[in-house]
Amino acid sequence: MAKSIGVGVIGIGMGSTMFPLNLDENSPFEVRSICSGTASKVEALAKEWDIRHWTTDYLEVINRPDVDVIGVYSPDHLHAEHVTAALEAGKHIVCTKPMVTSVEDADRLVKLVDEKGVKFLVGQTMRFEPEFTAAKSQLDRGLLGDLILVEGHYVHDMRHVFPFTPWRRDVPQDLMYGGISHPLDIMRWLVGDIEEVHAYGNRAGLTPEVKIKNNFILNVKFVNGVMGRVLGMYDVVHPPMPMMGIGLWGTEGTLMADYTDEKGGHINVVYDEIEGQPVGTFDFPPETMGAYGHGDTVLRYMSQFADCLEHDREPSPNVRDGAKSVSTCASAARSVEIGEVVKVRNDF
Amino acid sequence: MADYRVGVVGVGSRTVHGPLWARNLAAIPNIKLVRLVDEEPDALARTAAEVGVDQTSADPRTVLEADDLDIAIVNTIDQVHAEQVDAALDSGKHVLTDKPLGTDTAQAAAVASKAKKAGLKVAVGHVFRFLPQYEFVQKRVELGELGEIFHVEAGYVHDMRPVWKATPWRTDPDEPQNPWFGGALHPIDLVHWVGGEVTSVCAVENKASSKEEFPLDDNAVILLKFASGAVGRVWSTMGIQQNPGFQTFCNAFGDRGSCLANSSRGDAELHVDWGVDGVGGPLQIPFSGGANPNLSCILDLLDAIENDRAPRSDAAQAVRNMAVLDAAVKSVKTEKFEPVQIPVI
Repeated sequence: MAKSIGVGVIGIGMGSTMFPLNLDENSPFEVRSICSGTASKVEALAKEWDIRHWTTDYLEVINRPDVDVIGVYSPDHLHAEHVTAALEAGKHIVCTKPMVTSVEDADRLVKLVDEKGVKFLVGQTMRFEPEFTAAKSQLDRGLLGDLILVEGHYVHDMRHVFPFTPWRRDVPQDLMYGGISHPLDIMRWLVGDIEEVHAYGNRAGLTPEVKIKNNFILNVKFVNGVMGRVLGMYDVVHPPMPMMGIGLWGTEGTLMADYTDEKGGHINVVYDEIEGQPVGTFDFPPETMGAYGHGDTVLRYMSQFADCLEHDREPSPNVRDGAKSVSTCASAARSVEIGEVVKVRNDF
Repeated sequence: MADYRVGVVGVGSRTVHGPLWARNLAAIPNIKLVRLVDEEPDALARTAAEVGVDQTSADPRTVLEADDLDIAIVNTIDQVHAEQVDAALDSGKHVLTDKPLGTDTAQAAAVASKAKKAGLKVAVGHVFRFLPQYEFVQKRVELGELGEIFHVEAGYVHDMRPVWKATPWRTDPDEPQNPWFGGALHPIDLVHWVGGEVTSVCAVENKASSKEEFPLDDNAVILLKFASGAVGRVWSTMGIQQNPGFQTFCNAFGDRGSCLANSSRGDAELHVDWGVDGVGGPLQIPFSGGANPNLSCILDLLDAIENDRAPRSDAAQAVRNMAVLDAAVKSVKTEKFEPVQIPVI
């Protein structure tokens, strides 16, 4: 396939997972420009991946005429600035999660995307992990019946991540957005909009420099009446459990799916129709390409994005999905603060 | 549910299932197991004591022609099933008989026709319909989860040597068990259940076991054409040497998925498009091995009587199975596809 769509990437950590697009013969995307704050690193990567342009100034990436899509993989608190600049330049956007870290920014981006008429994909990897995709397929096929409860978790001892992404410790990263948006997004994908949330949060202090709360539990109520719960623990000794997981409790079956970086995923499921409810299993092999082993996942979501560009379809999750996840995170943060159930804004 | 008075013909070695039916009946609360019949006094006394029955006889008529029973169980050698079911129907009883319902299509059809006219239920012991992994396959097909079915296959793969020792009537040199009845009928019934009506078949057979063990050809393969346009195959072999000694399988393949199940592994696999482009899978369901298909078959008959519906494996289906079998046997001789001729019942 001709490399007909130019991509610029801001941020070379998770952003480096976009580079294998250049080797994918089935993808129309070619990464043509990359940007990071450290010149030596970005130059070396450009050489390694044969990328035609590198810079430390993100505006250079955005303003290049040979770049049609901007991949935003900068630290969370810079997404709003980088996405806004790219949208103003009329570029399509792929932005890693969290889309932004405030409802005001989310609102603004939704309006700007509408105004510019461009495509916007939130790079939520969980939707593109095969075990979670297969779990949704089981739900959509009706094998689980009507949902009663959905649960999601993303837990990660961040002390292992700080050394190679120190901004998370120094800024610091607000994991109510950077962490919780993972399970919240996939739960929204599976069930729909969230109406209200109640949350608790605390700080364990395992990394003394990080002064904000970064362990959370959320109870949520979906608009359709389904109950949900979310666990996001980041200031912890990493528990002996999968890093990410969802639980789908339906009237005809209950399914648990999990995933751990570079270790693959699983589905365990029971169906009410089968006497004795034996546990059905579905195993997914580890994927190890790219940062955090997310290389294949990024190729999958970029494949969807190519289809959206070619056939004028809406990406999933799109900018409104991103905004609703941010809005839910904001309501949960508010709930932690005031100790009450907080309504979630969904009118984006 | 009403209480039912039941008699069993056959608990010894000249049977299909030995004391199994009697044992299962004794475990059902609303069954009153009244009378047992067998020509082997020791086996009869042993089973009667085990299941707590005091009326025993060597004469099948004490069950088949009795007017104090609701249900007769026919668990005898293949050659006499039809006449015994016929006798039980004549005296107004529902019947559960081991397969085959008769030794040919006409015999089975006559019995099925009599049952229909009398408004009595005849359940035929095609017990694999009650194995949960095959129920899983059949349901996937019935619900359309596999799309349009293009291939259905089933197999009965049984190292029969231990069974031949335990039930020597099967290897009687003068009148050995027809291996098509003992083996092939099981997968024929499964492919019918899963794939629907079979219109024509082509079969070949040869010998797997030694002549000392079994005098007839005992390895058969049948190619099938279904009314739906699907094709399929049945494999029945009884002289095979394998461990575990017994396995059956039933697989269905459609244009949107496949479902494979096996009795010895006790599992089923579901392959459909889960939206993951071939990454991972399949969905594997392990079944506990605790299933008791014979018990389920009896309970299904009771429910069929209670709700005036056809048993899951009824006489009409048994006739269709025999029609496929007869066409297959004919095909072995003609070496051509033979139409399956199903009589009107």
